[in-house]
Amino acid sequence: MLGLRSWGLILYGALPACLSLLGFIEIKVGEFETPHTLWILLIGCLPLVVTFLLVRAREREWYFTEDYLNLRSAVTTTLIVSCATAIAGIAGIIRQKYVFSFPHLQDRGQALAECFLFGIASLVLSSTLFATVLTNGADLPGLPSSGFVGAIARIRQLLIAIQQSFIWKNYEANNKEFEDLNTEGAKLVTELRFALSQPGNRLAKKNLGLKPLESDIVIFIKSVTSIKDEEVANTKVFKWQVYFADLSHLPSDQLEYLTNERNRDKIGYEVLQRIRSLNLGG
Amino acid sequence: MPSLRYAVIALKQKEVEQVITKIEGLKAALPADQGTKALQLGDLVKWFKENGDAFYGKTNEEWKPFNGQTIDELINETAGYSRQTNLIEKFNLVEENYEVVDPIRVYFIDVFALFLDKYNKLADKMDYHLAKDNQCCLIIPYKWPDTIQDTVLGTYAKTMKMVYCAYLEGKLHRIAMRVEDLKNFRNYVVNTLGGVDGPSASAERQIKEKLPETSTTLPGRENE
Repeated sequence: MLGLRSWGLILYGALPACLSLLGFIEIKVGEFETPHTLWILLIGCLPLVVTFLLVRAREREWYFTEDYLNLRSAVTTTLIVSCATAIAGIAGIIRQKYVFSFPHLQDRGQALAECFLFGIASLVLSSTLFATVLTNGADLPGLPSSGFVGAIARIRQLLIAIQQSFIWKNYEANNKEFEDLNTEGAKLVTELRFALSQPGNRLAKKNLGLKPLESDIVIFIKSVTSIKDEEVANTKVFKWQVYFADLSHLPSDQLEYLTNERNRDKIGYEVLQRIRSLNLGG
Repeated sequence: MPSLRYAVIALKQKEVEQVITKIEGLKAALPADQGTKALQLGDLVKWFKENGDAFYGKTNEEWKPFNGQTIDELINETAGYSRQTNLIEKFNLVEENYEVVDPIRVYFIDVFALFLDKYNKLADKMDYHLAKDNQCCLIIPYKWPDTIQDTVLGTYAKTMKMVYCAYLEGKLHRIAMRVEDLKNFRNYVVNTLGGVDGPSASAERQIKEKLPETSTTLPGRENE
């Protein structure tokens, strides 16, 4: 859910909170009237929202699909704030501003609020860091390399092009269309191999599913080639129907035959549907 | 080298019951003096009830005549053949749209399918076409009891008269009783016809109509 690439973001997100160790920033929570609490919370949440959006934008570039993107970004942002709060608290203990008394945390409401507000305040710096250094594709330790991120972006574009191609909607007798699609597929395989060759955490790359995606694309290319190379026009249409067509509108007599044929290579059909249903975003 | 296009005419698993009913009907309709024939049909029903399901699948191509292997697995071990059974589904018995099945050169036929009206009519309609322009391979495994072999051979000779006669005249139609027969047929056909990259049978017919062998002028140049 968090994703292996997010640890780098947490590291850089919580980094500005370390300023509290040096005593650069100090927050003091005074007494304020209850009606103002909502406004204070809203203003306090602003850096949180900005950080969430920046984390989301960054994580969107690091993954193919948008599955769990919001949840993953929310978890990352929460962890950044939690880490920053904890750092501020530890800094307070080191600088003897606070006394650590674990079982009686409820009595330390003011200290906790100060640490939390510091954590939020440090997000202003984190946001600036995310908006400048981290979004410019710098090769920083703990973050995916710019080459890898670039390859992922190109892979996503090619996947979107394949998803939006004619092959899922209607049959084209023109072989040129199939050839173009195969070229896209071949480019995609090249990009996937390039992404795999980039330096970075092996586990993170493995979890991204680059290898399985490569074999899925190879099956896609084989299916398209099988249609393209078919010389008999009726069989060409038949193969397209079996691999790609939406059969729900066909009469039952044709439907049964095509469904049975589709079931003969169920795994292949499922692979094609998986490519089609990837949630790649806009 | 272009691939040889083949089709499989075989029963599907859900049609097995219909064949049993059909054969039982044939048996019941026999006159009393044809006891031997009735016994043969009885054996056929018994054998088919016991073994029928094991041979068939959801589609025609899932028919497994030998060693639990489909025709595709048995013959398409190397390049040279391409499946076109889907074209049979497009053939209309009323319209007789032979152009649809025209690309098919080789037919692998399950003799039991000939007991069912659907395939029997198809074989009957295509008999001439098959005998003249195509190669047929009927599969009758030698492991079947003799009485069953006689009955199904009789059905084949009766339904596909033209193919049967063409076979007797030496045309390339075969009965495969073992896997080796099937492979021999497969290789013989691919070696004999596989390299021919010529026009299809119907295109050839049209050329012959336009250009009779006696003609020495090209169409459109008659006045030159």
